[in-house]
Amino acid sequence: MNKFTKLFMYPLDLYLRTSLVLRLALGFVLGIAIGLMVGEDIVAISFLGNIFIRLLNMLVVPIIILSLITGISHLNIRTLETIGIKIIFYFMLTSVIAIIIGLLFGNILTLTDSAIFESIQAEELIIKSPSMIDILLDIIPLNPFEALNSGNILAIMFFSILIGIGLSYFNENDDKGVQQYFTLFIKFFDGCNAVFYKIIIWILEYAPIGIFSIVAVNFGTYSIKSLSPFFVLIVLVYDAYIVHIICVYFASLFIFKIRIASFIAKAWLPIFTAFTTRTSLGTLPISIETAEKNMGISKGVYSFALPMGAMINKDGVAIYLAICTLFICNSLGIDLSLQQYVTLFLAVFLSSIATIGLPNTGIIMIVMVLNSLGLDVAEETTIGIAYSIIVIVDVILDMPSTCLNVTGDLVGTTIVAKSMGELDQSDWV
Amino acid sequence: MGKFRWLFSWYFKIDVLKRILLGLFLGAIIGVVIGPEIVVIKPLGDIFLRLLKMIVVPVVMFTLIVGASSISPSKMGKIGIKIIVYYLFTSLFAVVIGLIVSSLFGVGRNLGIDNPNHNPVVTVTEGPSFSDTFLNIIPTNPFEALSSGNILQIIFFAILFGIGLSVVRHSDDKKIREAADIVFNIFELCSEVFFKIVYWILEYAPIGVFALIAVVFGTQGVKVLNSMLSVTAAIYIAFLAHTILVYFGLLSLFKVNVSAFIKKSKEAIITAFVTRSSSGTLPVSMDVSEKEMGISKSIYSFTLPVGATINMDGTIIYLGVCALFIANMVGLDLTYVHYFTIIVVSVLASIGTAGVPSAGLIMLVMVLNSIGLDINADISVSLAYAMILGIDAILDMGRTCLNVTGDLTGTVIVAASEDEINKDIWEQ
Repeated sequence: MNKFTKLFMYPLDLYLRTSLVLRLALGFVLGIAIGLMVGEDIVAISFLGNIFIRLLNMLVVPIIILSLITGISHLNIRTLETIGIKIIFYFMLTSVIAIIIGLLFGNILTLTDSAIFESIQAEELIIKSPSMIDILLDIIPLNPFEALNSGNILAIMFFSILIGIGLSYFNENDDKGVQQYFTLFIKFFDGCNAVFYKIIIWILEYAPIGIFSIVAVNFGTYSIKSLSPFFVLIVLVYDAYIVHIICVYFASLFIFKIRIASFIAKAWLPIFTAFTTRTSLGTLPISIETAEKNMGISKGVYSFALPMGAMINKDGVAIYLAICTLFICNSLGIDLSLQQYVTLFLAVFLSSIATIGLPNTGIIMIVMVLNSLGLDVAEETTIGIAYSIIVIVDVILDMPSTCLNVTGDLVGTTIVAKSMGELDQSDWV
Repeated sequence: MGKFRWLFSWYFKIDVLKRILLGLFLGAIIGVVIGPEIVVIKPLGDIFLRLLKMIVVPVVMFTLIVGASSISPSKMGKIGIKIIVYYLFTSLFAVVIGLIVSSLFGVGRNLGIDNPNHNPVVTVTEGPSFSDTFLNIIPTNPFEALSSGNILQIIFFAILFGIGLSVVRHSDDKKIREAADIVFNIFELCSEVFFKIVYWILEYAPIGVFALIAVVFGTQGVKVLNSMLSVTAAIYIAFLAHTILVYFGLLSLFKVNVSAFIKKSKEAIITAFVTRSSSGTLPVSMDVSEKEMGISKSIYSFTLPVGATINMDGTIIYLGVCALFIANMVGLDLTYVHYFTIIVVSVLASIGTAGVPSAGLIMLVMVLNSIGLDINADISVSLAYAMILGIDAILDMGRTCLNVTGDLTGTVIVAASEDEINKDIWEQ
């Protein structure tokens, strides 16, 4: 090996030998520091973060198909039904609690300083909300290959589950030949799955650099000054998140007799990734890998519960939405009656379902909620103000919100698995 | 009925290569004789083109996964560096040759712009930025990459998967090792199936070649003979010079028998010539590398698709000639600074537009802009450009042919330098 390669290999070697936790922490801290120091020019390195996000996204669709088909083919239909009902019930229940927490916290805030609004420029925004029936119908793909191509996750899940159930009929079939093909088929998928887990591990080796870049860009471009008028709002939302984590997630772990500390020790990586990348779906490959390799959850449970959660579980958004709506109402001097509170509650709940599968839901949802409250959305300023607030505070509130969503998915998956005896806790501390 | 059977067996009994050559010559002659009316047989050619394009994506994906999983990642890296250096190096030569030949010919000097009321509308899309080009290599959804036929994204995904597969095949866990072997075997089988399909398509090739070439000669042949003879001649002479000086030169440098190379790669080169699609030719050039040349799959499965998207020697020569043609026609005197600018911009543009469809046009605009000619604003520039566009099919044939020859040359010399050529198959 010549000197040049040695010079090049040494830092690489050092990088790869340092533990992942240390590297991630270093990337995060350095990202904040350098982002704040450099300022807006830091966008020049944003491609490093984009590489990370693209690599994660690349794996989402294949991992969902592979794990769902193999996971479900080993279940009987009764078990699948129970898992489905349990996890959806969990997601619904936690969303309801999240909205209630959001509304309670939103009421603490009686900020009536309308001066903030005058400083904000209104922007125009047109939003068409899809109908409920269309959303449900869209779950059935017209052409499975088209669904794969467009990355329609719910449709992909629907089709993969059907294949998985179809396969499960041939598991333990009396015919020896059929049994043999079943094993071969499953082995093929397992082989592909093993390859993808390997790729995830490689991507994680790159993660510190990606996270450094994402954090640096966020801190470099969003100045503290522009956030300061919303300081109270931000603190409030963060408090609500913490309350939700303790009252809902920790409590449900406690009820199912799972040690909170060891849960965090096992699940920190996807939670951290969600916090920095702000994408539940992009975090999915890492959550799946963690569920499989670290947490000992059976594939039949996580392969369904985790993608489902990434799509429909939006506790973080619900809290943030409830508080922001009340903040807007208070600031505009609108007093809500009890009846309007009920409407607001329903509106947040329904809009979180109506935006299933849409990216960047915060902005769309807030408009839908304001609309249903009978606030005149046609009046450009209201919409404009709502939109501008979301734009300004979005990154800072979205980070913990995504983190909350992913934590919720993992907690739900763990307790459902535990309740069904599908949780292998042999390597839990 | 009996008569048809006789015709069929006669057709199939002749060697494919002879049939293809026959189709080529007959097509050219009949095209010129009949003229533009020959377009009615275009569907026969389109069938060939569609058949080839149909199997490009699966062939590239399966062979590359199998290829990448049968070598070590470090060797993969070495091959990657070698082939990219080769593509860059030959592109540099291509611009220079293009510029020299077209200055010798003085292309466009004697042509004035005669019909100013004719106003062609040329719409041009902006070239993507450098970082976007590189970022775009990573697919956000591999199935979307497959469905849109984005070759670079497919290459990226297939290599990653292939390397992952090779690691998993050497896993300590026996169950995982077994499963990975099944994955490997199934993919290898799939790639073999597609090679079988390539073989069938080649049986049809003579008819397709005949139709494709007849249509091009029928519709554009006369134009070439009239006003554009010097440009056409200049471009083709430059192509020939590049082939002999660079490709044959490099081949002999690596001690590869040039005439054997020509003989073995003929099918691919003719397919490129008539189909005018580097990626469409991929199934044929991969088949040739595997069956005729005995090159290891782990090399050609990577270098050929990469070449089909980033190697643009033919395009670059064409760019140089076109730039000079247009500059001469509008009466712009070119200095050495201009020439230097053309060289640098062409090479950079060819990297920057990697994987962009119809990159030639975007590249030409970049080059013209760099020497101060604006295709959108200046009517005479766009008129000159429209004249070139009128015989584009004929020029495109040579261009694609050169690109594919370049891909194969690069593949052979990289394989020779890595000692990955199966001597028994090569010497057959």
